[in-house]
Amino acid sequence: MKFRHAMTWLHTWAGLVLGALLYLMFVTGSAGYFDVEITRWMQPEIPLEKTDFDTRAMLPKAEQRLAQVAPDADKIYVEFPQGRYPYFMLWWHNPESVAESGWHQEVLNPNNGEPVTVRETAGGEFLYRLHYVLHYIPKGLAYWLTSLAAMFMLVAIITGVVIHRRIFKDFFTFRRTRRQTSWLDMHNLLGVLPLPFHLMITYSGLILLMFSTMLPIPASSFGLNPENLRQVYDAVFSEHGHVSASGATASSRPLLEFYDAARDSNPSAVIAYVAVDNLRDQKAIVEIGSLASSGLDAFEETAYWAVDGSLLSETGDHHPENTSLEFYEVMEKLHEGLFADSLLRWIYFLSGLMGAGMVATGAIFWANKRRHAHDKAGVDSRGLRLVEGLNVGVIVGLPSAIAAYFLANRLLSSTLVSRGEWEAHCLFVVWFVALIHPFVRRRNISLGTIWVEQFRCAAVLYALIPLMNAATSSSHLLMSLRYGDWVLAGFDLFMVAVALCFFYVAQVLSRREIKSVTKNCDAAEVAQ
Amino acid sequence: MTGAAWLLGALGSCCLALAKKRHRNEAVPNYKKLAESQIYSLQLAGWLLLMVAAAIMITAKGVALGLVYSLGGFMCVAMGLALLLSFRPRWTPWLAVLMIFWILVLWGVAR
Repeated sequence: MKFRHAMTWLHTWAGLVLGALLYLMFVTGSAGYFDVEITRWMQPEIPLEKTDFDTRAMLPKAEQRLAQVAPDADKIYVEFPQGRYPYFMLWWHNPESVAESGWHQEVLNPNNGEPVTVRETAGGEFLYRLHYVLHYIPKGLAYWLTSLAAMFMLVAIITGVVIHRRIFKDFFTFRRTRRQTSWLDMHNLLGVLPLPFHLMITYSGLILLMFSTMLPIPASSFGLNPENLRQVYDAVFSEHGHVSASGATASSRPLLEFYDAARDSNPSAVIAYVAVDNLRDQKAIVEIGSLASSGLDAFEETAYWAVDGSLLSETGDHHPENTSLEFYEVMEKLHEGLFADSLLRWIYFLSGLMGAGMVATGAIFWANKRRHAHDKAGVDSRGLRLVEGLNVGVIVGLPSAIAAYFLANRLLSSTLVSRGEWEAHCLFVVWFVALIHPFVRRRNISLGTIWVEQFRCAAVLYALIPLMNAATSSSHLLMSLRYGDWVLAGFDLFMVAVALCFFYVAQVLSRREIKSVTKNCDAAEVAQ
Repeated sequence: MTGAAWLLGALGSCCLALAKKRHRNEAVPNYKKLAESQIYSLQLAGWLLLMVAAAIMITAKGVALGLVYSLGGFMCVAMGLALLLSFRPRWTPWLAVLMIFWILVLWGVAR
């Protein structure tokens, strides 16, 4: 019994201390599974996906455009719209570029190959990065914080399984009518059912950031000198079998030839990109990437020598020769879920949201239980009031802030300098207001009413998103549904669904609040 | 093929839930008391169905994706079932019957 007590204590405090951060990581990380879709929605200038695209006809247009804009590039990528990915995009790398990475990109209209000017946006990438790089703080510190949160999460999962006495008996149980038990039941359901996901995501997340937190391990062999460590890191993660340029120029065969060769060798494959490395060199290589049909890789790559068109065997597929590196890569692939088709992507997304729900219900359960005990004893504590206020501001405030981020994308002027940054600022301003709101309002109204207010506010914000989209762009719901562009339509429809859910919860809570107020009044009258 | 796996998984979950006294009480209000052996066979059937569902997924999608799909699919089905047992418990046995019917139809179509 003593052991279980200790475990309960550990579970409670591990969850409570980093609960808000874990909630943020689960919510934004889940949104990150749809980063491409979100970015696409945030760039309404990209034309609607009207038909299946003929990628073969696009390739010469892309090549033509690249010859114009990137005459000195040493690497190029042409990405075709397919599946969840709606862009016809060019990437090129200039070796002598002043830009930080040397990479440039341009979006083309898939219908005619003309370049499209898209608005600057932080996109889905921002939400995805928010879940491990955070914002406004240095990267190294963020890695440490998120690693710490993942470590606490792992502790919370293991202790949670230990203290959950009837894990099999209560497997499908949700006793919704009993106020206190219902929170615990929901917490258990959200923790136990996606348990494989929770374990996988937490553990792999820890492994992904191991170069921050587990630094002593490489440091014990290579010393703490950052330069040495950098070399180790580069040696481990350098692309396997990379062919360097010879320096002698040579002309390559047209890309279409390679495209056709890849298509002939596997007619059912969907070709996602064409890349050239060491462009215009004797040792230029053409890589054709097609969507992988099985396994944990997103793409299958075939590489050719660009000058004579023969198949390049050794870089054909990427197999690390080192077991630990292979393990690392499996963890990375499972965590990022890039291999997932749309159904599995939704399952990943829902699992992530369930994780957020688990953190939220756990925090609410803790606060409710304390409040009950305090009311009985007739005491009030500042700590509990703080947790109660933070619960509202984090659990409902964060979704509101994300809605504000989407709205900012439509409302901010498209000529604003560093517009992407401003979208992010909008998110944090709204979140800050939502965090303050419970503490300001608490003087006048009950906690239950504060929850209702925030849920109503979130519902309104989410309902505004598709409306604002319709008001400011031509890629609105009626249009996207008419042309069957499911990436765009899906985004708007999901926002409507979220708005309805929040509205429903607000209604249920407000009805419950009215009931408890009238009950209290009746009790007061009886007492008189 | 994978549709059948989803149905079998859901049916297996129903069996496992109905093997529990609390859920049986709510799902079938005027049930006859089940013998111990009957409860065991219900549980066994549930586990077997889940295994078969996982096996189908693995044959259809390969070991890596099959396992991911099995776990993810089971999570969705179990969550749905938990909510059903809470909000509309009496629908559960009918859902199981409907699922058996669907499986038979799929089987008939496949043959």
